[in-house]
Amino acid sequence: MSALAFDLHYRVGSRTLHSALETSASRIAIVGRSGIGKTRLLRAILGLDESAHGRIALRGARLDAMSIEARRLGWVPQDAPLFPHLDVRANLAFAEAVDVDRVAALVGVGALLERDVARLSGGERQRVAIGRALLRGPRALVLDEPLSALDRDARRAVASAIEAWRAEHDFVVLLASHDEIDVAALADEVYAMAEDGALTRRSSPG
Amino acid sequence: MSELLSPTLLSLAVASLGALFGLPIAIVVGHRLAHARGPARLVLATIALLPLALPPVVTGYLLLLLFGRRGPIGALLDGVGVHVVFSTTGAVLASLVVGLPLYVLASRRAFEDVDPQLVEIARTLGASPARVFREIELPLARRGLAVGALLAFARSLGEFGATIVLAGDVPDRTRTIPLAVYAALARPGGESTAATLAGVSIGLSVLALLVHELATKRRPA
Repeated sequence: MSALAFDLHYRVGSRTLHSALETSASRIAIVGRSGIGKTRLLRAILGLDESAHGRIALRGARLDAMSIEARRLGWVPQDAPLFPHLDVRANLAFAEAVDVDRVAALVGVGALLERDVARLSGGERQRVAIGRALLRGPRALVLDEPLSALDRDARRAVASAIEAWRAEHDFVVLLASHDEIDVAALADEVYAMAEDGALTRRSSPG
Repeated sequence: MSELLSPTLLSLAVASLGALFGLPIAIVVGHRLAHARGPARLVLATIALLPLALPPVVTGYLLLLLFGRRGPIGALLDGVGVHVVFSTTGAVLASLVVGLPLYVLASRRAFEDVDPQLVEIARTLGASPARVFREIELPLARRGLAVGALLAFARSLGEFGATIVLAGDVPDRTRTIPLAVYAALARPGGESTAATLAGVSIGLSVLALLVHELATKRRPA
């Protein structure tokens, strides 16, 4: 059984892109120039793109006919927006998870739990957004330029936090990035996206 | 004294109740307008904003056709003992309807200002559309809704035309400040009452608009 397989048509502006993939890897990166449609592909997989149609299977579960919430995908969008009217703890707990304190410590925001999210740095916001997605108990963690606001040491720490949680909860990681450090840290298989959406496997990450 | 106090208190009560009962309508219609597309939005927007363009007297007349004892809604309400015409209920209804366009516009803007990505994230985190509305959209729109309530309240303070057609000019029941001013001016020797009520009216309006201005001042990012 493949970990992830999809065959999707979706629109980016006036273009219709076609992306297909079938892989047994559990840590997958999509790379390509900015604006090419990586984010649109992630949105299609998440169920957030109404123009998208096609098949998506994740570890045997057919996602394409499911509602957004039933897909159970943990999403971290590019600028990692947090719920501005909730503090860090309430943001993390939004998915009604019980492991808030453990995940907060894991992603390095354990000391910030009662803080207003307006007072977080960009890097802290990204950590909270990743923790919030992990606490969804996702089938897959879907990351868009996930570590861009972090310095080198922090990237390593957050990447290993994701790995530690994955060792316990066994989910797929799917990321879109043009940052080779993110790709090397988070993916085993890398696919390059062409202008028409076609995905070609690259020989090795990094 | 009650010549001044009664219309003042009645105006405040009618405007407050209009803003209160208008809130759920403003929320539902404003939310729909922020998200609906195509003909549905056009139809809804036109109906909701119609009282803004119609002469209030015409709005009052339409309300009278609907809520009068022989009107389709009035007959039903009459059956359960609620009388709209010539009653405080009618004054509140007229206020509510005339204030609704401003209320709905503020509400629509408030919901449009909610970052759609936050709604999407909440859905991916497992929240149903109802929970997203309750826990994300409504709290983030509350400031804009408060602004709408103040605008509707301020508009209600000045309401005359729809009120006099639907609710009439009944002292202590429907005679709000504008109606009392009109009645005082029509009466020989009523000028000083009219002037005092006009002063009260200006004071209340200035106060409502000051609060509105303070509430709309954007917080620093």
